[in-house]
Amino acid sequence: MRRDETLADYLRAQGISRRGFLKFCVATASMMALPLGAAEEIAKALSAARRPSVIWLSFQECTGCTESLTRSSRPTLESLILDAISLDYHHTLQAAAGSAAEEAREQAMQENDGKFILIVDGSIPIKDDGIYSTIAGITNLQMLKDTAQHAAAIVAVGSCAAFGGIPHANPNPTGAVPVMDIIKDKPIINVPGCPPIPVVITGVLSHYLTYGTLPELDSLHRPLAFYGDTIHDRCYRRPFYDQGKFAKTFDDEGARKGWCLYELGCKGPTTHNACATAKWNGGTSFPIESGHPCLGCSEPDFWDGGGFYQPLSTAAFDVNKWATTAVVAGAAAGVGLGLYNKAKKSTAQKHHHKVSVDEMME
Amino acid sequence: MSAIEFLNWVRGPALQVSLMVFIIGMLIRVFEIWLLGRKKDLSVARDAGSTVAGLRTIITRSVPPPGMWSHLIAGYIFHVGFILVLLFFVPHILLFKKALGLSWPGIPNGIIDGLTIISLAAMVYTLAIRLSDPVRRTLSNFNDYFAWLVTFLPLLTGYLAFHRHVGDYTLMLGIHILSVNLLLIAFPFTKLTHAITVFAARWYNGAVAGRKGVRV
Amino acid sequence: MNQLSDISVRVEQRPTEQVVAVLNEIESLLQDLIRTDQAGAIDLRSLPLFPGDYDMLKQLLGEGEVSATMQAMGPSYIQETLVPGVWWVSHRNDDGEKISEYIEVTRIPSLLKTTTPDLADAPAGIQQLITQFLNQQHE
Repeated sequence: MRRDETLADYLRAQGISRRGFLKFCVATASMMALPLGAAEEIAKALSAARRPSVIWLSFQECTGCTESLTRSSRPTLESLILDAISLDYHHTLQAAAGSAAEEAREQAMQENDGKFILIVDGSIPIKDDGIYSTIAGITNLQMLKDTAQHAAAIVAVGSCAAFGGIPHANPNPTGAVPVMDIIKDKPIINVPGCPPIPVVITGVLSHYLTYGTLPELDSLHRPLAFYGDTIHDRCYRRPFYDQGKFAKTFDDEGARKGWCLYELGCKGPTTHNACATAKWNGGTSFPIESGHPCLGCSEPDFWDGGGFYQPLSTAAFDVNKWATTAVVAGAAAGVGLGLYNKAKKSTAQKHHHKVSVDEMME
Repeated sequence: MSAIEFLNWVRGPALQVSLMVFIIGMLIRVFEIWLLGRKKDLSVARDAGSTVAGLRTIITRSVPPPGMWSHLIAGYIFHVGFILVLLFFVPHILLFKKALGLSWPGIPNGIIDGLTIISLAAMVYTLAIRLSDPVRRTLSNFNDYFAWLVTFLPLLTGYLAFHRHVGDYTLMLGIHILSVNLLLIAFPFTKLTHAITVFAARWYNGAVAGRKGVRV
Repeated sequence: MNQLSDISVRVEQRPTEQVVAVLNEIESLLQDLIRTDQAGAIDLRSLPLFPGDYDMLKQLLGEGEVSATMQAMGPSYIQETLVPGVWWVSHRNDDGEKISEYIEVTRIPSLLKTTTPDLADAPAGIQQLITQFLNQQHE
C-alpha cells in the first residue's frame, strides 16, 4: 500500500467491497467493546486514514507476543490491520537482515520523524550498561532511547515490555525493566498479558487508526476498553463463586461440574484483562473455561505473586518454614528471658535486707 | 507502587514479619509469665484446694455484675462474631489450610456478612460506653483505644473489600491484609495478649483469693 | 477446522439467569424499535455466557422466514429468528472462524443493504458487462 493511499483506497484495490469493509469495521467495534453503531464511525475514520508507519522492536522476550499476533490465519481482522499499517521494521519477521535491516529502520525513523508508532515487546535489561541483550551490537537500552525519541507514541506489547515480565521475576539477574521505567517523555500504552490477546493488540492499533488518539488508559497505562474489568467481574462461573461451590482439585466432582476455581489459585479477582469476554483462539475459550485458574498474567509481578496454585487469600511466602522458625526462636527467647527474670529475682531476694524495728525507728 | 504490587507486598514480606513478631512476641510473654512462678506457700489456706476456687472465678468473672449486662452481651457478640468470621469464612479457611494443613467446612457468605455487621456494631457500642461513662473514660488510655482500633479495622476493611464498595478491589484487599498485619504486630505489645492469658489470669485470681480474704 | 463445539462437552447443572437476562434485553430493544424505529444489537462476544447458554439461546430463538448468506471476506450468516425483528448475525472469516456475532433487533440488518459506494461503482459495472457480452457475441 502506498503511503499516501487511504485505508479505504487500499482495501478497494484489494478487491474488498464496501460491505466487506463494513464487516471489518463491525468486528473492530466489537473488539474495541464499542456498540454496533460505532462501526459507521469507524468506517468513516478508517476510510480517510493514511497508513501510519510502525517500527516494532523486540527486546528481551520469548517472541510469544509476535507469535500470538501472527498465528491467526489469514485473512482476519488482525492481518488486515497489519497490512494496513506499514510495518517498516520488525527484527524477527522481516526478510532483510543485518545492516540492511538497520538501515531500513534508520530510514523509516527519518522519513516519519515524530509520526511513527513504536511497538516494543520484551523487557529491557539495564544491569551492566544493558549488555545482556543486544541487536547488531547495539544494546536494547540504547536502541529504545534512540528510537523512542522520534516516535509519536509507544505501545508496550506483552507483560515483559509493560511490567518487566518473566526476566523481571525474582532475582532479576539482568536488571530487566519495563519500557515505562526508561521512557518518561512519550505517551505509552501498555498492552500486558503473557501473551496479550491478539485482538487486544490490534484493537489498540485500530483505535489509533480510527481516532488518531490514544485510548483512555488506567493508572498502569492499560487501555480501559480491554483492561477496565477484572476476569472475576465478567467470569461466567460467578454464580458458583457466589454460591460457595468450589473445585478443590483438578479432577474432582466440582471441577467436572465447572465450579469456581478460587481454591485452586485463580487470580481472576485481582487481574484486569478481557479474557472472559474476548477469549482466545478466535473466541474459542479461555483458561478458566478450560478448567485452569487464571494466572494473573496481565498484572505486574505475577510470577512472584505467591504461586499460581495458591489461593489469593493465602500468604505469599512459605508459612510453615517461617512459623516453625518463629516458634523455635520465640520459645528459646521466652525460656531465656524467663530464666533471666528468675535469676534477677533470686539475686534481689538474696540481697534483700530485712528491715529491723530499730532501723525503722531511726 | 501499583495496587497489585502493594498486595503482593502485604501478603508476602510484610505478613512474614508480622507473623514472626506475633509468634515470637506471644511465646516470650507466655513463657515469661509462666516462668515467673508462684509465691512460696508460707501459711495454711482458708479453702482446701485452689483449683475449685480458680474455676469458680473463671465463671463468676464471665458473668457480669448488675448494671453491666448490655456491655457484656455486646462483648460476647463481638468476640463470638469475630472468631466465627475469622475461622469460618472460606478464603480464611484456605489461609489456615496452607499454613497448618488442616481445613474444615465454612459458613455461607451471607451469614458471615451478618456476623461481621453485628460484630462491628457491638464494637461501636462498647466504644460508645467507654467514651460516655466518665469513670471508664478516665481509666482508658492509648492502649485501650489502639487495641480497639486494630481489632475494628480488619473487620471493616474485610467487609468493604469483599463487597467491592470502595474503589479498586486489589487495593482494598491489600489494605485489609495490612490491617491484619498491624493487628498481629500489636498483639504481644498490648492488652490483646489477653486472648491467651484470660482464663489463666481469672483462675489465678480466684486461686489466690481462695487462700484468704474475700471469695471472688 | 476444529471448534470447541465439536468436542462433546456434557454440561451438568447450570444456572439459567444469563439466558433469561438476554431474552429480557431483546424484549426491551424491541420496544425501543417499535417506539422510535431505532435499531439495537447485543454483542454476543461481550456476554459471560455459560457453556450451553449460547446453544440454548439459539435453540429458543429458532429460525424464522429469512435466511441469508453474505460472502465478503468470508461468509456471514444472517438469520431472522422466530421472533420478527430479531436477527442472529454471525460474521466469519475465510477459515470459518467467528470474527463477530450479534443478535440484532432491527427491521433489516444494515449489511444486507447495498452500500452507497458499491452502488456508485454499479453503472460502470453494468457497462462493463454490456461490453463483455457484445465482445463475446462478435467472437
